[in-house]
Amino acid sequence: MTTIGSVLSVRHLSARIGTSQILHGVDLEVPRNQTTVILGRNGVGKTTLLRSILGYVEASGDVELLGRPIDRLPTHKRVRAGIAYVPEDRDVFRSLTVEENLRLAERAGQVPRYDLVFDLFPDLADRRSQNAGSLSGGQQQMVALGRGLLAECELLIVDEPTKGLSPRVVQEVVDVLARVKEGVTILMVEQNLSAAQQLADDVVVISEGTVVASGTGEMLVDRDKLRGFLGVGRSEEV
Amino acid sequence: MDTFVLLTVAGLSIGALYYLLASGLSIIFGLLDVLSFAHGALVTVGAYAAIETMTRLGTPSLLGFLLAVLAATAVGGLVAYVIERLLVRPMYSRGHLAQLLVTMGAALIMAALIESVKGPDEVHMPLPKALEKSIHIFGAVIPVSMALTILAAIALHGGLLLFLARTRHGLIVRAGVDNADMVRGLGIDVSRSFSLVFVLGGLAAGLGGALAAVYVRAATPSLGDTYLVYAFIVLIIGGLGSLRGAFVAAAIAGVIQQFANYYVKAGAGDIVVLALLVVVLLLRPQGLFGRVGRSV
Repeated sequence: MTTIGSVLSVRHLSARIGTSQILHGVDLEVPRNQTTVILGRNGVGKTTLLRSILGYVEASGDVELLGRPIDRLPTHKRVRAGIAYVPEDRDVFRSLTVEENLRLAERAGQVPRYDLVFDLFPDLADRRSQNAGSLSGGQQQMVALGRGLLAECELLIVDEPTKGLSPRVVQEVVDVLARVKEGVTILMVEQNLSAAQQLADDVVVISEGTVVASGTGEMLVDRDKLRGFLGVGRSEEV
Repeated sequence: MDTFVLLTVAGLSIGALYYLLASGLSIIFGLLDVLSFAHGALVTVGAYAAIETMTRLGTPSLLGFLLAVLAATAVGGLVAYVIERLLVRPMYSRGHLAQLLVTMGAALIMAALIESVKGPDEVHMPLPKALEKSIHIFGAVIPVSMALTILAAIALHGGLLLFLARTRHGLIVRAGVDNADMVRGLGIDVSRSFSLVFVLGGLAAGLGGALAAVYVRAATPSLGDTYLVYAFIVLIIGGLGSLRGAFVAAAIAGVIQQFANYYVKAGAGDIVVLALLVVVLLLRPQGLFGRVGRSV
């Protein structure tokens, strides 16, 4: 059952890829109008958790969006239920133009929010007719975020939005998400702790496919404690 | 000069028939990553549907021929839809071998069904007088039916390019070729596009069946198999999944086949087309218009 005020509620979510058990009974609540950041070392199941919520990965357990079970729905119906997804590595349609990428995100019965997208990313307006495959990594991330924001949604799922970007572009992406988070609930995987610190209202730490710690964004301040949750040695960068 | 023109037009005409089949295979492979061996049987079904319609309408007329072409096209699309929903859809995640076996099985069943109903012998295609006529181009006497086949292939190619470039379904198909998972992630039901693409391929194959029946003036239960082999060759030469590649490769294959048959020896055209396939595979394995990855 969804906790009051939660947009997304995940209960006992387990997922397997091939012969490997990746998630072991994950429980997660994503409160309304908050940004929940999932942290964890590489390969602990962060992306698999997001992909299980979206139905890309076969999983057992309960997933509810606004109290409505969505775990038996195919991916496209989960998304239509009110989720927008910005995947790891952007996944822009490389052979399509920027405009065509955005047009695909339009949803029936909704007015597409081109004004919002071009206000957040003015560069995209100038590059409407450019093939998305020819854009830089940062510009592709703008297309991916723009696609996610074009339609109204209850929950924006973002997987490592700063991955592989230069420090300047990372800050641009963080600034955009900081503006966006005022109006939407966000569930985000982020490895960049500085970016996470600027955005997180809530933090969930995952290790070996289970939630090992959760709390408010304050958790990110005490790096020694965080190292302990993440299972990272004192000499390693967090 | 007239021989050159006649051979060129005859080559383009046979190439047009290859394209009518290869175009469907191309977009099906581009989006679904499925090589459908049932596609040749759709040509056969289309040919018999056209002949059946012409026969039932009595005295051959242009209007009757138009109805026969429409019937063949519709039957091709309908059978393709049934094949996709019942046989191919459960096989999308099973890999190429399972898809190959299922579509080949469907082709064998359809050929057996046609043979049991229509018999193994040739069935004559009645033609209206207007299609028996010829036109003169640069001194060459060109049968109207050849010109019609070429025009149909050009119209189909243009129509498919417009569909892909100008419609939302076309946009979804092109995006699906890039990354079908991400299309689902935008809330779009890609399986509907899969069905649509299969039906489009079936419509083109049905149309190809009607025009193949015109070309050879008859149909047999194995009519589509011959064209299927060349359609696959054209697909590989042009680049798997590339519609433009299939269009150009079909024209090249048809023309060199006719020239080799005339100037070297009857039957040499088949060897030359196969040699072209080998050369392309050696020099440009992704095909003339193919790219590493897929496209439409």
